[in-house]
Amino acid sequence: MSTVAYKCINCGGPLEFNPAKQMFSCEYCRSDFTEKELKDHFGELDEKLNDENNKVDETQTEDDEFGFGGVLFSCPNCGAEIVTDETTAATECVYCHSPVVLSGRLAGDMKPNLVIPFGFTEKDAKEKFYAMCKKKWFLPRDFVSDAHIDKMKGVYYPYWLVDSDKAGSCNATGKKYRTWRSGDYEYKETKTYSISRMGNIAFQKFPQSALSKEDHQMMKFVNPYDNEALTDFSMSYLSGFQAEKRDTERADVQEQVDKELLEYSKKIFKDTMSQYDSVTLDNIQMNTVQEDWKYALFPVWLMTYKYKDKQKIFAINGQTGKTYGELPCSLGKLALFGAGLFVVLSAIIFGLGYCL
Amino acid sequence: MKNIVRKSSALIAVLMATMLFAGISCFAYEQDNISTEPETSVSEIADNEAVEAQEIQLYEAQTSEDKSLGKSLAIGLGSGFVITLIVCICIYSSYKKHGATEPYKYDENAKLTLIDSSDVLVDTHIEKRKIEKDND
Repeated sequence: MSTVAYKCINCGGPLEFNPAKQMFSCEYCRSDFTEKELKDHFGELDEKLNDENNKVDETQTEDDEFGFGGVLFSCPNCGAEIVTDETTAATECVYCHSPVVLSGRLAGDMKPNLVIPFGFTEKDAKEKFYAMCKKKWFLPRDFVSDAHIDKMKGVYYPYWLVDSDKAGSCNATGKKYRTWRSGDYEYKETKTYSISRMGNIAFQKFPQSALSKEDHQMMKFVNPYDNEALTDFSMSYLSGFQAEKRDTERADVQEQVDKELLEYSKKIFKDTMSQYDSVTLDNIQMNTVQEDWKYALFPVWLMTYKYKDKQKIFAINGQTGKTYGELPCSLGKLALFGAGLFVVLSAIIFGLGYCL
Repeated sequence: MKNIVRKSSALIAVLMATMLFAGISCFAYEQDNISTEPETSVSEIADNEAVEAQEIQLYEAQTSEDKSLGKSLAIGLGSGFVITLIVCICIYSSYKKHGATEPYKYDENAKLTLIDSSDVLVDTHIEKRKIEKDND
């Protein structure tokens, strides 16, 4: 398995991508390098990704002694042998903590087209998490502390980005209501319309998770990302973070993507019927005119925490800071709040009812 | 120990609220079922009949007021309980799935080009209803 470790040009220490500076930094000599400088120096490493011959043929691994498709690789820094699972594309050595990129897993058609680099550091991610927790009144009192946060790691997750041009039409029934009073009578008028729309919809950068082993809900709801920050992929962005390569091909998710885009098409057509009080879609037909799929890596800060002996995962969008996950809820605090709310509401409704 | 105390206090709060609700409901129910006989004297029937009628009127007014009080209490407590329950369920489920908002901003990332559009009126229907007047 071919591995790559980016080393500082000045001192030879491990280089990591620094989200705060958006540059590549060396922790030892505090040097910073731009992507261009790294490309000029390590350019031949990235070119290897385009070389099909450099791709590791996973099917040749006959002896699955680790039982989960694990692969043994040698740390380029200290030489230690480390096992990783079949989808890991970047990690760190558990012995010397040097960042390691498994370049063989990102070569050929497995090479990502695009990447969104991390927008903030691990420290900032923790601060965002604590700031969000402050707004949550029903968290257990002892939850918001470093003691509960087991680990926070920056991971690049694989996504398919779909640009899809669809053409289609829909038919719907719309209703408008009007009421008025005249003398002792109330009148209600209902006007029914037959609506039809025909048009083209161009979807841009629709994201679809390309990793089957992770929680689909987490990978879906950590979106959206700001696509303006998408940049051409370079292995150097992975240095200092973990990365997963895709295990889902286009054919595996085509149906799911078509289904979701159809639902969005319904919403888009319905938005053109906002003048009606109620709309019922009778039928819709959409055909794909053109489609372009790109493979991208998106950053996520993944936090694991333990509460009441249960391990939970919490995800923070590594670019926008949007959070998604399960938080513990203190039932005692909720019950006390409920009792207080019950007394107040009952008093108000009783008072209103009695006075009126 | 701390956890036991917390859980116990939460449980006590819930039990107190439930007992309050039950107690006031019973009070409201009893008020509806109170019946007393006004005192009347045997002699001087003509004068006493007038007094009796007056006392019966007062009694009916009092009973009616008590019934209305009981009804308001029951409605207040029942509504308060239902609303509190809904609010608590919403809060709890928001903690279980924190951040589950729209993952794809289709209004920013999707562009519709309409080729054809038609809206045809097919039916007009008018309903007429007499407004009920309150007779006090």
